[in-house]
Amino acid sequence: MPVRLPRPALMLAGAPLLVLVSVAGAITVGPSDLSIADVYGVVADRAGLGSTDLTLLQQSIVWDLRLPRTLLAGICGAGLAICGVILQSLLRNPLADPFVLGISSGASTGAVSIVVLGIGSGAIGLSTGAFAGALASFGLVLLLASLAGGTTDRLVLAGIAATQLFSALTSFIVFTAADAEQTRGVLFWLLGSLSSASWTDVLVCAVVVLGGLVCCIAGAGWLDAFAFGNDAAASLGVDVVRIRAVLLVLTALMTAVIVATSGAIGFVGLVLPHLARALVGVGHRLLLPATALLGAIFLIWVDTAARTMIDPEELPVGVATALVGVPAFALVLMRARR
Amino acid sequence: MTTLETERVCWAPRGRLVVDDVSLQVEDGATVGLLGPNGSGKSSLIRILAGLRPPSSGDVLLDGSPLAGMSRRRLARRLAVVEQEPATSQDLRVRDVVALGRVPHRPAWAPDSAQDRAVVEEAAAHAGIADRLDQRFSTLSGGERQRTQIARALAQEPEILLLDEPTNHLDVRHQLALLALVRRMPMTCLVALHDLNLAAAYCDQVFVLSHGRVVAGGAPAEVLTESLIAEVYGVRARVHHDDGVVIRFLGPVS
Repeated sequence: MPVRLPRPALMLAGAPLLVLVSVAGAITVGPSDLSIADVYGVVADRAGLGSTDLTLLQQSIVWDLRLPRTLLAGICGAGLAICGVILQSLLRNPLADPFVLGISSGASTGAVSIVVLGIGSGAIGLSTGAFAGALASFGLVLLLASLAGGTTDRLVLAGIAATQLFSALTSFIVFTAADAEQTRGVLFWLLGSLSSASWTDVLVCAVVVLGGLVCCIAGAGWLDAFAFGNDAAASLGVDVVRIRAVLLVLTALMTAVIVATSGAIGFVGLVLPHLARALVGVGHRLLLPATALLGAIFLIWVDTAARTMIDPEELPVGVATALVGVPAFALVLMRARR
Repeated sequence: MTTLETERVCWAPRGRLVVDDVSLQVEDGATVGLLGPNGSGKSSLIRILAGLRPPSSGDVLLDGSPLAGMSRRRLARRLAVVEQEPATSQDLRVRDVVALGRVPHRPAWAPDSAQDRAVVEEAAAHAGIADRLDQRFSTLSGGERQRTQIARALAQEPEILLLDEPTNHLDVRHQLALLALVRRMPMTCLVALHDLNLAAAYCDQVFVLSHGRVVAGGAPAEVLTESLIAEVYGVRARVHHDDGVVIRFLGPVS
């Protein structure tokens, strides 16, 4: 068993600082020689609090490319990790996460349909399509799993089925209806990438993920109560049907917005909650913020590695999270064996 | 005074009648046994009494008012349930499990108060697991798990406690210790039991279920007769009344 470090609350207080350092540090990494002081200069300049002596190109690299990308990575990492905690707690399944359960795949299909059919565009339009897709695939998974008996492995198997189905649908839509440019985009939706991050994406994701986090922390006691199942939660005074519905829809919404801006990124939601539990314990009041912060730090650095590792090419971040995540997944799987 | 009673309760999930027209009243402060063969509806009746399953017809009344109209949270502060072998996928400490009993007593966002922690310690001490609080729930023996769940139920500070076959899978010593613990508790306890001798030794009142119906109710010495055991369980038995009720089983009814 992991060692319980002292004062989880104190660690939690230090973690936001680590996120800040991660954001600033990650921006300096890459093919343009920048320091943390340069990054601070640009941010201060834009905020009207100082000035910077960088060239316009360098300023643009910081402000238009790397800063939104790094922030988006942090927000997506936090959001996916929170979704993992909620799904694992509500479905009582240590292997649950939006990617494994096919919610991300469904969201991808929804977003791709919007792009290809030309119904709408922009972060909001894509997110709406992704939300519809996420709900559809989540509904399918829960239905399949409950028809099959509702055990832990059935849920994961249903998730695999949904992932395959919706990945196939995404590819199908792209190859039949899209032009060459859009066809290249299929990799974006299937593997996940943060390369197109914009300030609008950052804003939309930040609102939804922060809102989701606050809602979930507000219901932390209810999430705790699900540890022994739905009946046990009900006997502890939780309105199971309503709370479950609200939290599952919230999960689908967060996943949808994240997928709409960055594609289907796997393993963040699966692995990080387990790490956070080992650090701060199982109580959701600490676990949720801890998982969010860990998820943010994790995805910021994995994305930084992904965009610089095989310079000048860029590795899709979903490939990088899978490379890190699969061994971690194997560890979780072995621990879940009872 | 807290009374728990059912009025002509039926429960028929998917058309199959599991609980059939049950009317019973539990005496305040008593330890009440719920007896009956496998599949006679004991667990179902406990879930209905706990408000976890709405009856198909009839009412469960707590102090005269129907459970159906009560908020889940208010009910959880008055009535606690210990299910059969509850399991979790999470790596909880015993303290975390017992502390779940405080969930209905504070807002979902609030941290536990000093009072919550004191109640948890006291409940654990009462259930005899005070020295296990920092251990992992998954490392406990069956008897200790049951005690942990009972401590969690006590932390709810209920007026009524429902237990579904708490002695399952326990050796005889742990069975006796657990029922002695239940008996010592001040609140009304309704316990589903398999062992008729244990029921006779520890219960003030018993109800016997057969095919979803209550076929007998009252003091164990009056209810547990040779003819009732033959009729309900299909077993020949001798009931001795010399030193409390002792039942000796002779074999199946031929």
